[in-house]
Order: sequence, then C-alpha cells, then structure tokens
Amino acid sequence: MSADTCLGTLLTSREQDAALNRAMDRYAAGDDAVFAEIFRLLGPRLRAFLRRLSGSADSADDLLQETLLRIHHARGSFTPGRATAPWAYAIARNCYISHVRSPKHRLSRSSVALIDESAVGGLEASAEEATMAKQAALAVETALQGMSEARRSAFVLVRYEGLSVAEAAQVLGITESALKVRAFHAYEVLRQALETMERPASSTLQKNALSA
Amino acid sequence: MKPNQTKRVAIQSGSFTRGQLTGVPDVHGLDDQPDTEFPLFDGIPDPAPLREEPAPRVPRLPASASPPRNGVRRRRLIALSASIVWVLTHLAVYGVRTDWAELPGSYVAAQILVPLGLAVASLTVALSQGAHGLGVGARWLWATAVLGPAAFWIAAFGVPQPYAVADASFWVSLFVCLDLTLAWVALPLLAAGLSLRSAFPSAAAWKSALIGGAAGLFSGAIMNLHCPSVDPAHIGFAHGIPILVASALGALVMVRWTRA
Repeated sequence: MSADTCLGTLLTSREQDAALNRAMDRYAAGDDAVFAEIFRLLGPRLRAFLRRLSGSADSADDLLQETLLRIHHARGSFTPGRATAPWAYAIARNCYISHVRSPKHRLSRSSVALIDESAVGGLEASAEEATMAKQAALAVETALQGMSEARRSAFVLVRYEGLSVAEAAQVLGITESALKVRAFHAYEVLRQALETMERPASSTLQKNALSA
Repeated sequence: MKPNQTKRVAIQSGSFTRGQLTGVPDVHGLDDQPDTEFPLFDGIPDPAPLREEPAPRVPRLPASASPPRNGVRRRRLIALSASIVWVLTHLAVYGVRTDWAELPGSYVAAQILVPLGLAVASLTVALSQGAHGLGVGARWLWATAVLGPAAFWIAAFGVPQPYAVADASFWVSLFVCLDLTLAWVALPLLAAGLSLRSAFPSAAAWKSALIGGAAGLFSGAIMNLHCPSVDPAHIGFAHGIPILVASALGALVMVRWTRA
C-alpha cells in the first residue's frame, strides 16, 4: 500500500471516528433520529469484532443486535467528547461474555462453523493463493478460538480493532502491562499455529523440488 | 524473549505481510488495518477482515425509551440525595453521640472524617470518566476498593481507645449497631443499583464494589457519629462489617444492573 493510500485510509478512518463521536453525543443527549447513522458507522466494526471473538458469523449477527440494544439502554452514561469505539467495544465484549456463559452457547459450541470461507478468498488472488490464505485464516481462527477469552480479546482489540494499549486496557478493565502480557501470549500461540501450518507446506514443496 | 527469537519472529512477521515465506498473499486486507503499537502483530492474518458486506438488519429499538444524558444525571442526583437524606434522617431520629469532650481530635478524624472522605473518594473514582470515557485505570479501582474498607478497620483497631469501657452487653449492642448499619446501607445500595443501570461498560464489578463500599463507608461513619461505643471490636465488627457486605453485594449482585 502506498503512503498516499495509507494516509487516505487513516484520514477516512479519523473522519469516520469524528462523525461517529458527534453522532453518539447527539444520541446520548436524546436525539433518537441519529441512531441509523451510529448503526451505519459502528455496525460493521462491531460485527467484525464479535465475529473475531465468537468465531461464528451467525453468533456475531445475533450479538450485534444485542450490543446495539445495550448501547441504546446505556446511551445516557456515555461521556460527551470521548471516543465512542472503545466504549462500544466494551459493551460488545460484555454481550459476548454473557453469550459464552449461557447454557445455550455451551450446547451449540461444538457445532459452530469456525471459518466463513467467503470472508477469506480475495477476488484478485489466484486459486493457490486463495487456498493458502484460507488455510492461514483457518489456522488463526482455530488458534483464536482455542485460547482463553481474555487473551483473545486483548489480541483482537490491539491487532485488528486498532485500539491503543491504554484504550484496550480500559475496555478490558485491566492494567496496561496485563494487556501486553495477554496480547503477547496470544501472539505466541498464533505464531506457532501459523508455523505449524506452513511446515507441511514447505516439506511438500521440498519433496516436489527433489523429485523434479 | 531471546534476541534470536525476536529476530526470527520479526522476519516471519514481515514475510507474512508480504507473502514471501509462506506464500500467503495479502488477501485479508492486512494493509487496510490500522497501525498497532505492536508491529510484530501485523504478521497475523485477519480471519474476519472488515469488508463490504450486506448491512446487518437494524435492530428495533424498545418502546420504552432509554433515558438520555440529562435524565440519567437527574436520576443519579435523586438517588444520591435520597441516600444521604435516608441516613441523616436516621441519625437525627437516633441522635448524635454526646461524649465529644472526651474524644481527641485525631480519634474523631480517624473514625468519622476519614471514612466520610473515603466514601466520597470511592464514589468519585467509581463514577470518574477517565481519559477514554471508560473510567479510571484498573490500579486506581483496585487500590480504592481495598483502601476504603481497610482504612476503616485500621482506624477501628489501630487508633488508641480514648477511654476504657466495661460493656456488659457487648453482643447485644454489637448486633443492634450491625442491624442498624445494614439497614442504613440497604437503601443507598438499592438506589445506586436503580440509578446506575448500564452505567459501567468495563470493570463493572470493581466499580460496583466501590459504590457499595462508598455506601458502607458513609453509613459506618454516620454510625460512628451516633454510637458512643469506643470499643475497637464493636466499631470494627458492628460498624465495619456492613462495609464489607455492601462492597460484596455491589460486586456480586448490583453489578448485574450496572454492567452495560
């Protein structure tokens, strides 16, 4: 990605955040009409966050509905002038934890599809690259779901949601050093999962090269 | 982490991003991800990248409108006022202790002013918005939640008794004060639970414990203002146990209402 594109993405992201914060301020003050705007700006991010936490697109959709309802109930407690995203992520995580602790989730957990194949295939990638990408994503997904929620949340917030360490620590209600430890433990697990995934692929390549 | 390990991870991390080592191209939108404080993490592909998708359905908002900011503030103010009036009315009815002449200033400060100050501090810390709108840091929460009840007990047992007493009805007076202090705590706890619904998105248990602790400390301090006993065991158990009970109720029960 070029520097210009990077800067453009960053600016767009900041503009979106600013628009979201303004909308949330109005919503917290009682302007119900702005909810659709909040939903448009926040919905996809929360959905992706919940998807990464739960490992299931269906669960993420249900949890998103629940999260938005909780945001509606909690809007009066939102502090004017503060960032909306960390506040919303904290509520979304509470929804996920409630969901995980419910008996219904425990029954259905074994049948959850781990990877949404349509989410990992790139349009411009070749079939081989797409397969590799799918395998990598599957390895990450499996490793994420295999680790504790505490580590998973810490890593997802810092790596994928782009929160600062201070913000992520506030979302999880822990110290910054505890967050770093959790995130690095998660990173180690993911790194090993990717290493394990690539080993058979490398050995197959070597075998092919030798036989050729 | 060992130096060589760091190097190995860094190399691997970079290779994942560029797809050189593993052959994994950047089809996950990695480059679209925001920069993190940990460049190492950039090497982990995203299993659920943000992308153009059909919009999820907009949830139907419940008919009972949630209170906006002003309504929440008003509700909290009413709860705080009702709690203070509740406890002070009891003090007015039961009366203030009359042995002031025999009490040194340090004793009064330790038994009454310090708990009152800690109650205010606990409430302030619990409701503080912090830099990110999610409250103060975890260390402040833990420290205040532990310091409040601990300071009350240290004051009860650590400050020298101003004069000797021979209380023949130790257990009766202990249970009377315990029951009264618990009753004084009950309404502030209930009011806090109702007025702080969905108030804490993060660290809700600690913040609720602080609210409970604040109610307990306020009631304990007011009980010290009423009860003429200077027996450390009486103060510690009869006036101090409700603080622990209120903190525990906050962390375990009230949190169900206060967590957003």
